[in-house]
Amino acid sequence: MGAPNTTERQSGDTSPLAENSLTPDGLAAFVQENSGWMMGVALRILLDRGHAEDAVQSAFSRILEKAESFEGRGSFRGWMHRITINEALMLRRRIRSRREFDIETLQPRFDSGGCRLEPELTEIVTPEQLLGDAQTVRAVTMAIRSLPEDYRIVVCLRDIEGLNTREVSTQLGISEANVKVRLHRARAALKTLLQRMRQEGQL
Amino acid sequence: MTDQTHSKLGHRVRAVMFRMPFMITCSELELKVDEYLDADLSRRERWMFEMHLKVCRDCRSYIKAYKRTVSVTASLFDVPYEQLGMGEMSETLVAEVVARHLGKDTAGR
Repeated sequence: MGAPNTTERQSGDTSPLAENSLTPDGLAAFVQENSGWMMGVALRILLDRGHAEDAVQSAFSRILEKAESFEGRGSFRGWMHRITINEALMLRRRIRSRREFDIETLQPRFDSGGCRLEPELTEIVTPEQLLGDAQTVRAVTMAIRSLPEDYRIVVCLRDIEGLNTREVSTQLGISEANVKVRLHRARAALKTLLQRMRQEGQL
Repeated sequence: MTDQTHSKLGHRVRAVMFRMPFMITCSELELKVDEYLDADLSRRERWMFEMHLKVCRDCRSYIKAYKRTVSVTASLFDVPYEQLGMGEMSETLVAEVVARHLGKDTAGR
């Protein structure tokens, strides 16, 4: 399973930053065209508009510096996606200061015989419902935001940005086994939160 | 018989069933959920996982909700950043990037 990572599907792309596009107008058009989705990536990682803008600015600097060295492995946009993630993560390491809570309270429970003890299960919104409703987007974003940071960032990179386990492990400097454990616990916690929000009428 | 008594009895029956050969408990299934969804289980493990699902309604519901959670989370990738509810992008961002790059470019020549 992975994110609908449309940026990663093409290969053999060439850089759209040819010499003649580096005029002020060409550059402005390039930045205008890409700043929206790059802000999305940075916001999902950093959760703060000001920080996200800083990360996007740094990402553009890096992209413009390195455009000539782009080797055409994968799509140009996929390459930009990775750079944006890198810049956002670098900034995150500097500014990280969020309150964390115990994820245990959101994990599935079992009785002494190993049988699942679930409260009555509630339906969870569908991706189609999410994409058609801004309020649902905000509610799901809020649920993800309320996960402890070590877990939230794994869900963000793995499930939303579409990085694989090895890439997340490298980016965060933790073992692949740890990525898998955190991902599972984060998904389970998120499921509980989304069901709770649905029961409380927030979704 | 109340729902609660019925549920406790159901748990006891399932606890006995899960101790039979080739059966796993709900807590053992929990450890394999992601590998199952990623199709990374061996044939034998997959068979045992699915055998458990056949007899356990709670785990079937759980897996359905878990998969839905993963797909809803993944769909955030397609949401424009304006809808993430974190404010508008600065109007000067584009101008700042252009100025920063062209300034550097000019300085480098």
